[in-house]
Amino acid sequence: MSRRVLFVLLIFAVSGLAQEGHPLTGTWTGDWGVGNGPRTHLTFVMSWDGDDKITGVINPGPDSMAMQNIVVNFANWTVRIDAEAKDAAGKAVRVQAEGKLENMGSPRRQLAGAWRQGGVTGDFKVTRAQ
Amino acid sequence: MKHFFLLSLSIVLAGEAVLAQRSFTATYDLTRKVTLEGPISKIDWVNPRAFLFMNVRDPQGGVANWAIEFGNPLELEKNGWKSSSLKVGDIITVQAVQARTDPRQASATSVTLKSSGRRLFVTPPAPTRPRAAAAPRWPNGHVRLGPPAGGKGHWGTPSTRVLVENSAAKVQMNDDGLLANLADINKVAPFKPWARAVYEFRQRAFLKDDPIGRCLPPGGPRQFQMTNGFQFIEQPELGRILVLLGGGNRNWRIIYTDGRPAIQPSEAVASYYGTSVGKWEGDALVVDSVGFNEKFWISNGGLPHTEALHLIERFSRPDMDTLKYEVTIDDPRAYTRQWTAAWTVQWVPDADLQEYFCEENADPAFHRLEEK
Repeated sequence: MSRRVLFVLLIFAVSGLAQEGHPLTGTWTGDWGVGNGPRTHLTFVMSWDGDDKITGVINPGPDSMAMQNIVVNFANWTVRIDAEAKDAAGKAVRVQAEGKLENMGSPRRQLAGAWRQGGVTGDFKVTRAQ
Repeated sequence: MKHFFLLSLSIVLAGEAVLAQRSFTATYDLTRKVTLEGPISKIDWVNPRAFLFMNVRDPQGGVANWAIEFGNPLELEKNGWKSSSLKVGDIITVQAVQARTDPRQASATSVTLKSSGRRLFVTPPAPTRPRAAAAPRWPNGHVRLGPPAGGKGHWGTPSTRVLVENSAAKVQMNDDGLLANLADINKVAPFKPWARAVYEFRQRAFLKDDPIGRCLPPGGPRQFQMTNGFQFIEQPELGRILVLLGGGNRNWRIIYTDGRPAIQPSEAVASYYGTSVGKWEGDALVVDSVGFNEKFWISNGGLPHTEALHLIERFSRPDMDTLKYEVTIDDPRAYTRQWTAAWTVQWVPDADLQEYFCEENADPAFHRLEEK
């Protein structure tokens, strides 16, 4: 395969990820954790309903957490997400993610910042996957 | 080879810059003017962007190889220029504007052959056109949007390359859609807050993230503001009109005119050009389109949209040489209300659409990669 052909293929590989609508819409993947400790996988699925409300879910599936409130500050592209998880005993645990959108113009933009779950504070980073 | 492929793929997927086809505004800084002199080392007379490479001596005695973009070869050939208008070894003087990132790349505003003083690649003045004839018609009386029977031609230059609400006060932009004054943002369209913020972000970034730079199609109204024109192929016997796009990787779009009802957005598969149904209202073809994906910008300049986008387009031909295009943009997720824009497009007689592909050759770094 010549480099020229390969080059064109690579352009089309990244093109499939494009999303130029509301910057939060899409599926995002990444993880959260505390310092150098173990990391916990995260999947965010968010969409824009057009009525000034963004809806979403964290880790869709049996252990999903509904996003209860998503607030974007358009002046600095910071995002706050409130959600509710359940601990091993089934008790509700409050989750709050506060981060900043980075690499905004890229199809693989990122959201990174502080993650608070119950009494634990760590960091998180998710990258838009599709 | 395998390692090279995996490494390259990982770089791309990591979001690194892709060498493709950024807009002029994203590539060049008009305020950074430079004059260069030296011999030509290579000429790439390649569509869509021709480059020459020249060796320029700096004040310290070193030699730097500059990449100079000097136009679209198909346009240059239309104006009488050929690849042989220059040859390797010719000494030229180039006035140019420098690229924003590559310190040895520039776009020529003039190229002069030192031996003769002749200025090359100049665009001749447009010929005076006689008064346009009446619009051609089909036997059933409908206006023909394409060539007259037995003739050829296509639609070429639009009266504007930017999309701005009709009722807006004068808004100054360049042809890439970059605002002269960011304070005019609210005059462009009735944005919802997030859409305004995204538009401002794109403007502040000099449009560098334009999906066209990643070779994605110019969907929506933008398809009628591209540099290489477009063509209608009317097929009444098949109940459809094909729109062939000269400026978007030889894309085409289908407008169904067989009387089918307008598609419901929930039934349409999201695509770059949407699903279009047209009908004639007098001398105007009115086209209703839904089913757009969110992978493109609807305008030069970066107007955002969502999958809720609904377009109503009116095409009319007041005379042989003029197409009038009017569009109503209805996207309640991105804009606070419907809004409209309109422009005209000039007929190019006796000509065919030229081949145009978004290709890797638009970036001189690719030519340098090839040489390694």
